[in-house]
Amino acid sequence: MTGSRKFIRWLLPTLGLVSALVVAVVVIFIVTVLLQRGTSSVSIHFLTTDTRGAGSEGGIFYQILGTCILIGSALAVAVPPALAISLVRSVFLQPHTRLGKALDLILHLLNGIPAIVFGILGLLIFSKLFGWGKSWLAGGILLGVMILPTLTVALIERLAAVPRAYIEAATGLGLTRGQIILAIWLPQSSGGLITGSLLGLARAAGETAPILFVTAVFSGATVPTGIVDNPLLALPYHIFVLAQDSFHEGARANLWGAALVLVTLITVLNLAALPLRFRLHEESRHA
Amino acid sequence: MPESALATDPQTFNRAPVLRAEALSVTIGSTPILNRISFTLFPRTILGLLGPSGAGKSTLLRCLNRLIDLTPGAHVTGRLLFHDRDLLDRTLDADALRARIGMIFQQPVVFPTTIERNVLFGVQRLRRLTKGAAATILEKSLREAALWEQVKDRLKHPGQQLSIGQQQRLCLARTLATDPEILLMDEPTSALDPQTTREIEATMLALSQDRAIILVTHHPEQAERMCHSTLYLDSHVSI
Repeated sequence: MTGSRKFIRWLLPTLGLVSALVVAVVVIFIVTVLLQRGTSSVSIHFLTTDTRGAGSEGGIFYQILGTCILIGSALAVAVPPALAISLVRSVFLQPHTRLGKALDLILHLLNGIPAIVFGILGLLIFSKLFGWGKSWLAGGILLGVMILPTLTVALIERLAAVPRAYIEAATGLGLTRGQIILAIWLPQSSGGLITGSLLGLARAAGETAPILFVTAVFSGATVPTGIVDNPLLALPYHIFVLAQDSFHEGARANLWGAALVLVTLITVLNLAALPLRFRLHEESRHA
Repeated sequence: MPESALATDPQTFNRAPVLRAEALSVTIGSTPILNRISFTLFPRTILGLLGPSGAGKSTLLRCLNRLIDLTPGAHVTGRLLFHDRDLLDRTLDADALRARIGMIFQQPVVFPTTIERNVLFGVQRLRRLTKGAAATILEKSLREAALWEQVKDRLKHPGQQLSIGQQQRLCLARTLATDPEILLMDEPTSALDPQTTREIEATMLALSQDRAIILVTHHPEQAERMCHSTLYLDSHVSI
């Protein structure tokens, strides 16, 4: 073996190991800081009561609720078009057509639009043009559009992995394209839908910029009763405001508590994807 | 297989044909695959389709149930009469056609679900079935495919856990459940051991009692054992 090949054989695993260590250290650092500073303020009381004293007292119940409403509506907004786009891309278009490639490009572009741009576009469209003021639905729609590419790409990847033989066998039995979509394409790609949804939601839950202008307020909102002028409290916005404005000791503790809750929520969403994905993999192999 | 297994009613070749191909040609892109193929398929017979690899045997089968529509760039000319209707007529409902002309692939394609659901996979989507009708079709198809005795106690088990020969029978049962008039079989025994091959062959002969079958095979001996008539596709003709 030549010296340079030996060097590369030694270098690549070392680089990999060092990178993994750096990532691990960063994650451990963040988790440690969050636990150290946030644990003291997190309690059942903190999770189940309203905020008082401009964030220095009370809990974050409505912020958690607001975040759940936001990611729920984002999912409801994103899933139907994601399914439609990925089915068009994978089932109706031949793989390497120009239209298909254009669709991929659009998805990548959409994925690259900064969150704050969604925020101001939302302000323009929902608040000004539609006259919604601050509305939970505006935030849900914006977050839905933001997670659309993630969800769609996850689905397209899963659809591409559906065995051609299944499609041919089902076609050979005389099933129509619609029946094959329902009987083969969708069940075979449900893992992608779940994975994409949870990854998208984990991202949506932490976004502040898109809801800054059109949805989030710092206090006074509870459960929405309509669309127009029905804002929400939300965890990332709560953290944002507390971090900017508050020098009160209690507010700072609650800020870290809220951050810990948000990270926990996102981690749970990510972890929830794991067993579900494994189970679906198993099913597609054996059941 | 004794000679008598193939003994047919002398009237067989006087009956109205099920399927008649006239000057059937296929090109995919600019490559000619089949060149002016003609043949006639009579009811209750097995037509053997022989020829070297690449001669277009599978392509011919895929024309017959219009599965070739899924191949990008495929162009089919000629006439293909199924009870005097031209299968190549673009206005014909290809899906309805495929239910009447069933296809068994070289490798068994078992869906990732139970044995029962595999058998009913097509038929329950093509027709409205009562529970009773579904149970009847399930048993009848599995019996016809000679698989019933082996799986009747584990219908809810995953189909993909069956042996390869049983999987091929399961696919056969799934196709039979839709009650096709013609069975297209693309080297259905090539993945099987000799013993299982004999069993599937016996099943095919039994099925030919009330259906027409087109059997693609690499083995002249199999064609001799099984087929009432044969069509030889030569790669020199098609290229």
